[in-house]
Amino acid sequence: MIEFLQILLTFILFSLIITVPVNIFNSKIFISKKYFSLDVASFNLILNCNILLLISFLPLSLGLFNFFFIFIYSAIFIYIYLIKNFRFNLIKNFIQSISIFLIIFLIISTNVAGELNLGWDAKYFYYIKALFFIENQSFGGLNKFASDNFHPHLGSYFWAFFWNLMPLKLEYFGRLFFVFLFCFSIFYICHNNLKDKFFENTVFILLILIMYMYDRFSGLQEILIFSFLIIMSKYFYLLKNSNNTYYVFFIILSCNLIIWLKSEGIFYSAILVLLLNFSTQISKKIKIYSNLFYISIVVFKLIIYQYFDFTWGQITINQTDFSYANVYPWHLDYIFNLNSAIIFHKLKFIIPFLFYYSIINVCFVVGFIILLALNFQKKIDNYTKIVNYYFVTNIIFIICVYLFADREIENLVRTTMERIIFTLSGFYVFLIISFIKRLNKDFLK
Amino acid sequence: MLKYKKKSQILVLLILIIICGINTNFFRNLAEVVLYRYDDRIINKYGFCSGESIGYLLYLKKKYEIKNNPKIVNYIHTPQVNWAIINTKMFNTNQKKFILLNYPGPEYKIKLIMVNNNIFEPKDIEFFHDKFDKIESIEILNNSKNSKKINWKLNVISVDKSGNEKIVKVFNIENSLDESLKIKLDVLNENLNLDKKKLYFKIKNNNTSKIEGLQINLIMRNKYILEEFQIIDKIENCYYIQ
Repeated sequence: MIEFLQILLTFILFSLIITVPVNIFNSKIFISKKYFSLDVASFNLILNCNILLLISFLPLSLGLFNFFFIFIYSAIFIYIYLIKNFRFNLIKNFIQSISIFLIIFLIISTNVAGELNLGWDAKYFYYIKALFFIENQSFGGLNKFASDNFHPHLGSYFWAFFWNLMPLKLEYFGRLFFVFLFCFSIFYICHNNLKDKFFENTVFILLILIMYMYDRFSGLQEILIFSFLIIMSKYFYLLKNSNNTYYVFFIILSCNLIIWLKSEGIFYSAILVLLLNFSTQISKKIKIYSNLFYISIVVFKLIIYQYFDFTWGQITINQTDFSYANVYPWHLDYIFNLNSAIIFHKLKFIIPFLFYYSIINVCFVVGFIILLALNFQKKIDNYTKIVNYYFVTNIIFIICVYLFADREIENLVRTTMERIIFTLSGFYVFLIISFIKRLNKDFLK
Repeated sequence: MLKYKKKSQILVLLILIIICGINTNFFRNLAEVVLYRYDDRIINKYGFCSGESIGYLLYLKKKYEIKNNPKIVNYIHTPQVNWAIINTKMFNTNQKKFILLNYPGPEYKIKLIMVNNNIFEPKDIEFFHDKFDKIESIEILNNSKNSKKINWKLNVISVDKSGNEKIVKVFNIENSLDESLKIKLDVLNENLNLDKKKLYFKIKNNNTSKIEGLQINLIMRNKYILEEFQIIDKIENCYYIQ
C-alpha cells in the first residue's frame, strides 16, 4: 500500500515540473499574449528538463539536488499559487480538469510497478548509467563506462533523479517520469485549455488506449523523444499565431533535450530546425536566431564531451560478453566506399521492413493517410506543408541511417527500425488529433 | 436535460477508464503492488535460480554485501544480468569470484543445426563461446529403430568476418550407429577464436544412409569445473564460487 501511495506522491512531485517556475494561470508574460495554461505548463516542463540537464553536469551528489528540488520548487509553488495569487476556484478547477490525467497516470504507473521488466538496452546501458548517478557519481564518471557517448545520459539522469527523490528508493519510480511525460504530452495536445471538456478527455483516453505498451516504459529512451515530438508538433501548429517567438524558443530547447536523449537525437533535432527554416510563418530574423541557437547547443554538447574526455570506450564492464570497441557503426570510409551492389542489397531489406514497420505503427500509418488526404484539399495550410516536409525528411533519414551503417543489415533493421519509426511517429499524433477535432466540429455543425 | 447529458458523459468516461484499466491489467497489478513486496515481485518476474536468476543475485548481494562486481556466468541465454548487482564505482575490477547461474554440470550439450545440406552450426555458439574449454565429443542420435552405417569425413571449420575459411580439424568417422554414437573430438576452445569467428561442421557423407534423420549434438567440457573452486554459496543450480 505504501508503494501505491508513493505513486500518488510521484504525481504531485511531477506536477511541480509543469507548474513551476511560471504561474500557469496568471503569468504576465504569457497570458497577455494569449497563451493557455497548458501551453505555459509545457513551457515549464521543457524549461525544467533543461535545468535538470544542466545540473546533471555538476559534480555534486544527486541527494543534494533532490533536496534542493523539493525545497525550492515547493517554495516557489507555495509562493506563486498560494501566497501571491491565491484563487481557490482556479485551483479547484485545475484539480478537476486534470483528474482524468491523474487517473490515467495511476493506471499506467500501476502497470509499470507490476511489470517491472527492463528492456534489453535498459539492462545494458540506461539502467547502469542511472545507477552511476544513484551511487553519487557525477557526469564525468560516466566516461569509465564504455559506450559513453554512443548513448547519451539525459534519460538515465531523469530516471535516477526521480528514483532517488522518493522516500522508498525503487528504480521504477524514476521510470514513472517517462509515464508522466507521455501522459502529459497527449493530454496537452488533446486539450486547448484546462476546461473540462468531454470530447477532449474521450480522445485523450482513447489515444492512451491505442498507444500504451509497457515495453515503451521499460527504461528505453524512445518514449521520451516521442513525447517531446508530440509537444513540438503542436508548437509547429501554433506557429501561425502572431506571438510565435516563444514557440520557436521552446522548440529549440526541446531539440536540446532530444540531442541529449539518444545519439540519433542530433539528426531528429536537425530535421526539426530544418522545418523551422521551411516555415513561412516566422520571420527571417527569428530563423537566423534559431539557427544560431541550435548551432550553439550542438557546440555546447561537443564542448561538454571534450571537457569530460568522453572517448570511445576501451574499458568494458568486466562481466559483459561484448566488446564495445567499434560500437559506432557510421564511418566516412564506409560511406565513401559504398557501391551500387551493396546499396541495392541493403535496400532489399530496408524498403520492405520500412513498409512493414510503418504499417504496424498506428500513429505513422494513420498520420500518413490523413496527410495524404489533406494534400488533396484545395488549399494546403502551412502546418500540413510542415508535416509534408517532416515526412519526406523522415523517410530520407531512415534510409540513410541504414544505408550508411557498417553492420549486418538484416539484423540491424530487424532490431532497431521499429523503434526509430515509433519515435518519429510522435510528430504525427497532433496531426491526427487536429483532424479528429476538425471532423467533430464539422459534425456538430 | 443538461444534467442527464452530464451524467451520460461521466458514464462514458468511466467506461473508457475501466476499459483502460482492464487493458493494462490494472486490478491484477494493483493487487500485486499492494500485497507483495518489491523484492518478491522482482523474483517473481526474473526467477530466483531460473532464467535471469535476478533473485539469486539480489540474495547474494544482500547476504555477502557484494560490492566488487564478481563475474557472472549464466548458462541460460538471457540478456545480461550484471545490472542487478553492479557497483558502478568499481568498473574493471579483476575479480577471483564468480557467480554461476543455471550451472549445467561439468559437461553440457549443444545441438548442431543444419545450415545447408552438409553444413552444420552449433546452436547459440556466440553465447556459449566463453563457457567451455573444449569440444569433447560429438554425439549422434539415431531416431529410427534401424541401425545405420556411418562413414563420414567431418571437417571442423572456422570462418572469419570476411568469409575466409580455416579447417581446424578433420575427422574420419566410420562406425555403426544403433541408438547413439559418441566420437571423441577434443577440439580446444582456444584454437577456435569464437569471439571473432563462426564455427561450422562440414560432413561429407560417404554412405547412402541420409544425415537428415539423425540428431547431432556437441558435448562441451565446461570452463568452470566446480571441483577446481571453493563454493561459497549454492542454491539449486546457482553457485557463488572463488
